[in-house]
Amino acid sequence: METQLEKVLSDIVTQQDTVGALLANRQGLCLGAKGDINPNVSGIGMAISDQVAALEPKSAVSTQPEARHPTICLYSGNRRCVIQRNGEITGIIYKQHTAAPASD
Amino acid sequence: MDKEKIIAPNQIGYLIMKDDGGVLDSGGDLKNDVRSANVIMGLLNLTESIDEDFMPNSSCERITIDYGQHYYSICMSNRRIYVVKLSKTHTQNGATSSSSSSTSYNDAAEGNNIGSSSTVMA
Repeated sequence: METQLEKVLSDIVTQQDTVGALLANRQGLCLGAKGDINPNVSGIGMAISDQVAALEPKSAVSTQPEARHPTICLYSGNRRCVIQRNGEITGIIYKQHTAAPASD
Repeated sequence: MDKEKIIAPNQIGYLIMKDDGGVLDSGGDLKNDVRSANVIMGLLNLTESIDEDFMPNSSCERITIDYGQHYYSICMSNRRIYVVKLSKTHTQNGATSSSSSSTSYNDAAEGNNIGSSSTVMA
């Protein structure tokens, strides 16, 4: 049953700069995780997604999928945490930009 | 005093808050929008509890919320929280242009749309 989810997660973590990805259900429980990501993040990720849903409640009924499901991106140095909800499922992706190593 | 601040050419609203959530200044779509200010404060409080290993406490310096046609950019600096609501369709404040780049961090892009990511290159 989880093979589809596993496949999606595997596709995500093979993208450039991606270090980990997880999917959470409406209750914030982790449905699956791949790569270097703590499965416990599913709860807080879901909470963030819920909080952002309150920012523009009118967009929730928009015909545009991008407006219904805003993408949240948290930046910290060369790291990014991308959160997006799509219906029942919320995806959380960790990204780390790895520039060519400079001599320091 | 009533003149609105122009933080970015394609802005459609802005909020400047204290770190306790008090609104210091606002304009455009977000003028006197205390409700949005409260939602954003709640969001900032939540981001402090995200994965300690990946993002140590309070290290999150910028948040973007992308709605397709517009997006919010939230930055923390000098104990102030700056929220700017930006349009992706360059029609505000006479900034109409055919440029394909959509963010204000585009000094290296030269109209060449590299991608949707708005990563700041240090």
